Amino acid sequence: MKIKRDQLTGAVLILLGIVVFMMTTSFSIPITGAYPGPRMLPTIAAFGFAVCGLGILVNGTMSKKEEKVYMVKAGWIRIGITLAVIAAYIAAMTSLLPWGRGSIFPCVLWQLPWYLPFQKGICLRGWESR
Amino acid sequence: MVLAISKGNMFKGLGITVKEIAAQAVNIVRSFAIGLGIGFLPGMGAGLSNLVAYSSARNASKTPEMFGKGCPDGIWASEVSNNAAIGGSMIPMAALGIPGDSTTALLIGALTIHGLEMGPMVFKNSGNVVYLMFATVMVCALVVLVLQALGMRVFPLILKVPYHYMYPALIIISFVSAYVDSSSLYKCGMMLVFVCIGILMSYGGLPTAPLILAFILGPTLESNMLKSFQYSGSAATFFTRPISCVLMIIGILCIFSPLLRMGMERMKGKKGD
Repeated sequence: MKIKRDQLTGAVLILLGIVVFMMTTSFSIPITGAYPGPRMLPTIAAFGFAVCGLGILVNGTMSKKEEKVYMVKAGWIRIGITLAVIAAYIAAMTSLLPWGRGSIFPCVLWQLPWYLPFQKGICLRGWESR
Repeated sequence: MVLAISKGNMFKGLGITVKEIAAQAVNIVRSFAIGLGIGFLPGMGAGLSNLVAYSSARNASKTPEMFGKGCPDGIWASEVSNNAAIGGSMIPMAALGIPGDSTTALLIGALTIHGLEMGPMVFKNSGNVVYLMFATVMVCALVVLVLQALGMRVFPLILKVPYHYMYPALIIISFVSAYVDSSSLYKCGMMLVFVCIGILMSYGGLPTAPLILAFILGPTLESNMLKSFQYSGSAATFFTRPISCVLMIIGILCIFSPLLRMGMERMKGKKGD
């Protein structure tokens, strides 16, 4: 059975709600009527995450509409390359080349060779890119 | 020049005539009112005002079938409401500390970093900054008018720049914005983390604007909620006061509305069978 995107989103939100709720238990000040303390708002947020996640999960399960492809594999590869290029640049500027911090030209020179292959248009979500 | 104005050709060569502007007067006023009104509502912003103004212009038009085929009325409506929403969103931002859209949410964040807390007291505590902001918006409107009039034929050419040249430029602008604030690459790293979160949210179909609004309004909400609890001693106060009660009911309905709608649709389906 193929998992729908909405089901995955709902499950992640429910999980996030549980994690946030577990984290709120580390607050030592209890929730009381007179002074709810710092635990109140994160608890409401956790409840909100769980309820909305449940709604999305149920809606996604009940819906019979076919989901559109979010992005084809080639698109994910491009996103991965872009993120890796930026992460490598930040890492290099932080540790290897501290003298180059804040300079723009190395950034341009580093990025261009990686993005030049992107000039070949691919179909990402059903429409043709340039 | 007088002759040129009388002939309606003052802007000849810029792509628009006075006659064309005059023909859109009603459309401009209507779209402006829509943009201002929607901009005033928290969280709505320019995105919604565009659509509402466009629909209103189409409904009021004698040739609605021409909309979507390059009819200037639609372009005027959406662009005027788009600009009007910016001014509108600044009203709740300055008066209540509530951002009208994600742009003003970011503006509030930037002002908070500089020690300015938006809200009713800002007029008393930092009135000069608020009036400076209003003056800046007015000057910006004039500057934008001049820039747009001169660059109207040039700016669309940016859309013809290939993406693989555009990406590095956009990424550098983002880098510089993150870096100049603290001269630290840590924030560039954080930017990358939030890029990943943004992509995941987009994958899940979750809008990012409410997250920004929650980030900005969270501290204000928490401190005022704690104050309310301390004054009243229980959560019942949110349901015993009329305005608060109505807003709470709207909020709860908003959370459960998709489930309610789904249940109603199923009931209708069963009745239909």
